Amino acid sequence: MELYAIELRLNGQPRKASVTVADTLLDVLRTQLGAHDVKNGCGQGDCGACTVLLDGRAVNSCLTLAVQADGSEVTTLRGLGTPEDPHPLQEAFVRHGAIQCGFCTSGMVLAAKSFLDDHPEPTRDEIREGISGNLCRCTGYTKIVDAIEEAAHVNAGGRS
Amino acid sequence: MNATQYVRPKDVAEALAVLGAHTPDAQVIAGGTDLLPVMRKSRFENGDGDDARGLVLVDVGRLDELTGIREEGGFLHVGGAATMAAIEASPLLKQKAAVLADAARSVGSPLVRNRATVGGNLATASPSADTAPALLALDAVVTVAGASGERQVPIADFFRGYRATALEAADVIRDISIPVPSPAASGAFRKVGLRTADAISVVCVAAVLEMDGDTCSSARVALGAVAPVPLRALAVEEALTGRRVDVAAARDAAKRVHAHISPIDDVRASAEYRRWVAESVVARTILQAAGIEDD
Amino acid sequence: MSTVDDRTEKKTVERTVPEVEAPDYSLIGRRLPRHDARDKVFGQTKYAGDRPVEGMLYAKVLRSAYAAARLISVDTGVAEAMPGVHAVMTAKDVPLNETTTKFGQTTDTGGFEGTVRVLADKKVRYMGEAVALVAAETLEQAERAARAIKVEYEPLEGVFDPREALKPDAYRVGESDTNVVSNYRVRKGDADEAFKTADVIVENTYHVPHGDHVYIEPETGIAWLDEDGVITIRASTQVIEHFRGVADILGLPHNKVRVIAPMLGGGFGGKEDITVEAYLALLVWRTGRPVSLTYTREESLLAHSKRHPYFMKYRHGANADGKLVAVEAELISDAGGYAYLSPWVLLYSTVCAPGPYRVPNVKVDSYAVLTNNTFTSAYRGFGAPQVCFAYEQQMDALAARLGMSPLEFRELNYLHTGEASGTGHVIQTAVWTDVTAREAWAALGEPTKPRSSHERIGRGMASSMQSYGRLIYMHDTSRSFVGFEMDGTLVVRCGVQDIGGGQASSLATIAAEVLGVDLDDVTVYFGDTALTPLAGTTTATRQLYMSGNATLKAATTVRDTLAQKAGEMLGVQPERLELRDKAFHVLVVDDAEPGVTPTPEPLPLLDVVKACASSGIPLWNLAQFNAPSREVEDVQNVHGQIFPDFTFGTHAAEVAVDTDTGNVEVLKFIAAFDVGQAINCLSAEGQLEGGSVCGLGYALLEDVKLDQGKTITPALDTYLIPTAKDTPDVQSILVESRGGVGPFGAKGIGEPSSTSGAPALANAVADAIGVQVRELPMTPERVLRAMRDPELESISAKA
Repeated sequence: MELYAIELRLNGQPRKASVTVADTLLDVLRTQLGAHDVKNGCGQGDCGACTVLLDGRAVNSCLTLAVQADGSEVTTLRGLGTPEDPHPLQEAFVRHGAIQCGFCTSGMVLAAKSFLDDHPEPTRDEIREGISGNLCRCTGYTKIVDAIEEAAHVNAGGRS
Repeated sequence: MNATQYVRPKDVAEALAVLGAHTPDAQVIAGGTDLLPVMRKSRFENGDGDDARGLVLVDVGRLDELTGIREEGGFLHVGGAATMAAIEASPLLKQKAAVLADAARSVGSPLVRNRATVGGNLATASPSADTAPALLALDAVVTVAGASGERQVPIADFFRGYRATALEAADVIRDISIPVPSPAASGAFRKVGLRTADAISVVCVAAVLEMDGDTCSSARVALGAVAPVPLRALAVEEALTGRRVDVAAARDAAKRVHAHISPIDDVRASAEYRRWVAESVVARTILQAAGIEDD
Repeated sequence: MSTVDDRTEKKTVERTVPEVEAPDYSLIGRRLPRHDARDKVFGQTKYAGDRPVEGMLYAKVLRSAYAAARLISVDTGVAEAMPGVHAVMTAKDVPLNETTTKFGQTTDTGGFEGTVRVLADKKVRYMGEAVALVAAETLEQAERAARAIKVEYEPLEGVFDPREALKPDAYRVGESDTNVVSNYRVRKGDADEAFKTADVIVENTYHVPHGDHVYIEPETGIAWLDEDGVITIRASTQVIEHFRGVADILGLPHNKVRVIAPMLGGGFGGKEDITVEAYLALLVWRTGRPVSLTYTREESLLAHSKRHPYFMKYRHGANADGKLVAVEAELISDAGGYAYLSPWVLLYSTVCAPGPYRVPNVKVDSYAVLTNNTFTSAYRGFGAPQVCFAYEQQMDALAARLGMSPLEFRELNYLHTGEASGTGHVIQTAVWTDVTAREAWAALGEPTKPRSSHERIGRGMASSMQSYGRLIYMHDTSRSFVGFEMDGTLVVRCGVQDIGGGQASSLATIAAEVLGVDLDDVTVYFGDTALTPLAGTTTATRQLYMSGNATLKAATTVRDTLAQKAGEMLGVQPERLELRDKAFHVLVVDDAEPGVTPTPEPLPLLDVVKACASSGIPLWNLAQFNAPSREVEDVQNVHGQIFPDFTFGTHAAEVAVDTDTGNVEVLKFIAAFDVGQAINCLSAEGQLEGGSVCGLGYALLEDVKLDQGKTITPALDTYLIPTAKDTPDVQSILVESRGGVGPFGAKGIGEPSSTSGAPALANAVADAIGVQVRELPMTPERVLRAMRDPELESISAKA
């Protein structure tokens, strides 16, 4: 099986991997690039747990071949913000109790980020539409919408 | 499906050359949102045995030639690799072909829409492809680039049978062109699924009506998920053309949809339910397109 | 179609929530971020599949292609010789291949011994049953080898409906001469007699389907042999006590198997039975190498436990004055291919079958029956949601017949503290169903007007009773260690499994409250059979009650020890000391003796800690909390107290039904529950909101469809769970009676919040369309059929 050498920027750092054509970006992120913050919930684009930002847009990394990400910017949750420099979405999720088991959180926060980039002043219904590709089984979504709504207000006054 | 090679051509010409060189073991990929689940299923069910022939994936997803959305010469042009997200957000399409923007917005989830392309939607030719009824209602023409040059395929001729299209093995969908609808035309798109978001259609309807006051001068009514192919309900269109459109007329015209549809029982819904809903949703879509309140 | 019910509106104008004084807590009852939230939001939390072990092999399970078949032969020769393969195992390789269903607790309970097999032997009983295991260097090699195992099946007839399986000539799923796994009866008073004189009788049948937990994290684990030869399994599991079952399977002493449960990505009961642990242990034991196993989502949907389908016949009798006189229920549950926890799920249903109502005459007969469908076991609610779907629609039907509103009828019949449940258990704790009902109904507010001629608006409610804590004859116990470090920070060690509901965080909060420190000063070590005192399963909504009380006990002992020392240091009686804000404060007393020195300054906690440390006084305590228990002579004839306590609550909903498509849009959704005392309001609300949407999925979307035992909804595009667009904001109302048996008067909430959502929606739909839909899920097609079918009895909520 032929192997391809790919290069991408993961959370701002140049990284390399050796992949087959069939390897998904999700596979490679978790097995070769140590990005365990990206989760595998279903493998076929139905749950959103594997969401990453690919050149700034939220996508299912399980529906993207690793070779297709060659030359791209990939951002995962760890690249969005850190304890020292948190993203407003991360702070809002914590403050509003929008995290229970946390397994959907990575994908949910990144999808929210991408959504807020396009919709800086969303209604609650628009927020629901924006995260409709990210399943959560624990929270019932209400506090997630609360958190994203707050982050949108913070963004309006500050960093994006 | 055993994909073993990957090529990212720099333009459509190179894509065609690679496809031609490897046919029938070559496959176009763009967003991959239909292809990857197929690859996954194939891996788990059949395994990719060493004896399976390796496929060459030809990635056209990043070609600028294929991702543009513009108006030119009386036509709206949507590149084959334009994503659903781009179509949904395009000010041009929202203004002049809202029925297509609405259809694109109903596909999958926002994550899927950031990758899925209109060309992929057509090429996969699922009977429930959401953009297909909208394109049928807009009289779109598909420009196909192939080994022997380019050809125009009217959308009504594009779907040949269950998951079969006018595409040949080494073709690429370059462009979908839509005659700019007249100012008197307006459209509506409705989708019925089992869930509010991220659901496969049980029935979807697109209608574009040209209205002259209360009278419909021309009608296009197309459906998905109710037959092996997406199709236009000609009898419904006929019943509307040249007639005054009101609630009774819309319901009357909608009754004729049954001549065209052959829905099946499947895990999502029964054929009977699809028939009931096809009729009522066609009526409501007609009224919505005509700007008439339902009573 | 739906109008405001004036009688109901009038009753709820004044707030009727009894005032129970709220103590002045530092942390308990506040809206605090959980202590695990930050790690999760920064992507630092490691779940069971996030720590690969060097040199690990990849496992794959080969699963049965048939729902019912004789297993003629399993030929692994080709597979074993394939590249990278280290082991291929079948039933003959498993030292103890058959186990009986057990709780993994401190005592065994006899009475129900249901066979469970690790790997299929001689016969397969459901499609997806594990037949063989493979471990190889790469996942692809393991998958290839699994496919190369040649299995010869002789397909058998099978049986797929539990009502069919009950018949005397039915296909025998197991090895015994009956498909009945367990059955119960409740006899209170004389229902047969009572029905003869009842003024109104309502009789209906109800059906609910298989469901999947769809935790976002599929089953996963990694196992290895440590330096001391202990098989160590790190798995996403709700029950680390399964180390005993795994050891038995391998024929090893119990102290040679260790299970670690890191944070789970959801459990909901689906990770309550052994999932990957036994397979991992077998392969580690065989190969000596670390092994990892992760189910694909399709595999999880196919092969792990499901929620029990129930066929229910209900008959209620009431008098013209609105009082219930009798209930008769027949419950038949589909246990699938193996018993697992079916007997206990059935028992919960049986106990809860009458609902939170005063019914003098009760007759219940229940049966759990084997079929060749996927095996069924624990699922949030554990048998209570199924019967709630039935009894709450019965209540609405009775109300309609009597010309009363749904709330009015229920208020006449709700149980109150000091009254007897359906099994004759006199409940002495808080029973505030009526309070929750009034709160929920009032929160619906003004009815929404239909937005088009195709829309019918309806509103409905449903109340529920759901136990928390184990069956009281299981002698349930839990243990927790609380101890100070020398610098005044606090450590809690407890075997609790954190499945996402904040189980660990609650313990931190309790310990911090009692010992006067901040939440950030507490580290909780949890979920490790080697290093944390065993706390029992995270199931049965028992952890806050059990490990919460154990932690409270341990923390209180430490506090009392410190207070004793502080008293000595301050020269005051320990009873006059209050520990908060990291200091001992001396409470002023009114009758201070003349000449006594003025009230001393607060004494820093750290000073006391150091003083204890240097005098050899223990700064820690390991406590065990024993739930009250009793022996039960006759498990089958259910009477008296079965559970420590119940949580009572109500859901209310408003829906819009599309008359063309049958689509149900939920406009308003309210959950009002008596949680006793919320330990953390954000967490408690989170349980209400999450449980409500669980009920919404049950009501409108979820159906694991099986066709002759084959799952035809094999992935998440055919098995649908709610997205953010499928639910409105859930309004969660925390009612606090402070009358539970958990720490600080708390009641459990994890399961109760998921029990009454579906019937509330069903009652709202019935209000909208004038017909009850007595089968779930209420898909658009099912609702449209109910509207179109003139045969169905029409129920109108208004006279």
